Amino acid sequence: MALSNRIAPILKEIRPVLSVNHAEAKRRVLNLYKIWLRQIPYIRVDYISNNWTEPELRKILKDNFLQNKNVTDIRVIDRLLVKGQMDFVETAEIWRQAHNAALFDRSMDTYKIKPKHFLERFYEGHH
Amino acid sequence: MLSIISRRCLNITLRYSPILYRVSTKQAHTLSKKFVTNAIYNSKFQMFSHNQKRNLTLDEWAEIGKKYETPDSLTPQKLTERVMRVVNDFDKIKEASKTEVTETTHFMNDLGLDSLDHVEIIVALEDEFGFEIPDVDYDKLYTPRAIVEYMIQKLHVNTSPPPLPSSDSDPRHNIPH
Repeated sequence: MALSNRIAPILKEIRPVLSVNHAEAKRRVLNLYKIWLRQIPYIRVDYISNNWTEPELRKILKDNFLQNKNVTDIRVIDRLLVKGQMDFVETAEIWRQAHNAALFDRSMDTYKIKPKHFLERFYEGHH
Repeated sequence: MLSIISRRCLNITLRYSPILYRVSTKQAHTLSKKFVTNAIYNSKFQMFSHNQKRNLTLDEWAEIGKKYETPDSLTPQKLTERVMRVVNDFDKIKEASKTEVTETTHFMNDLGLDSLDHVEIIVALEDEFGFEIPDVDYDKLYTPRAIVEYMIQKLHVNTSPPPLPSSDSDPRHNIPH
């Protein structure tokens, strides 16, 4: 529109956090996935009390990455990448403990899941 | 000088490696302290034996030779075998029917895998072939045939057919006089 023509071009460009375009961001994401994948056998042993198998760990990794698959903003992706890399370093250097590492595994959540279907609500009673 | 001496010492130790044989004695069934302390006197130890190699049979020599075998050089057929094995061992492809995976199945289009699954396959290939595949080449590796061609290029596999035997003289020796 008329206003956008008058805005200086420098204000239209945004300073990137890490990557400049989607291709670079995708490369970074795949690299992060790769280093997590290579670390999986060590995670299994370092946090052995969680009783994880390697296919389970791969599934957990996949779910955590697919959680953010609909993000399109490059700067948000970069922030998530940085967080992922920090989590990786904490997990690899064993600065976490077993319960900390288990936070990534949603199947180990202990909060009570609200019943959705009729029978489950029936068993619960009228609360 | 010192190296010669050390080499001579090494030769001596190799030839006269100590083998301890224990011959059973009458007191072997008792586990008393007296027996244990006098073990060296009660049983016979044959300390230094001479060369222990006797005449070996051909089978025994073959067993020894297996330690020193070098593997055959890679051919494109063996390469395709290895690649297909790696691809078929992938979790998601195992669940789907194995017979569908041919050399030209595209991972994304035909099998419906996404880029993260593709990365898993590439990591498995890296583990199999022992070298790191750079990011730039991920785009090339979407079908097993492309993977085989990439490996042939990177591992310098010999694809030319073996030379047929003929009674011609060696052309390398045809020196013009």
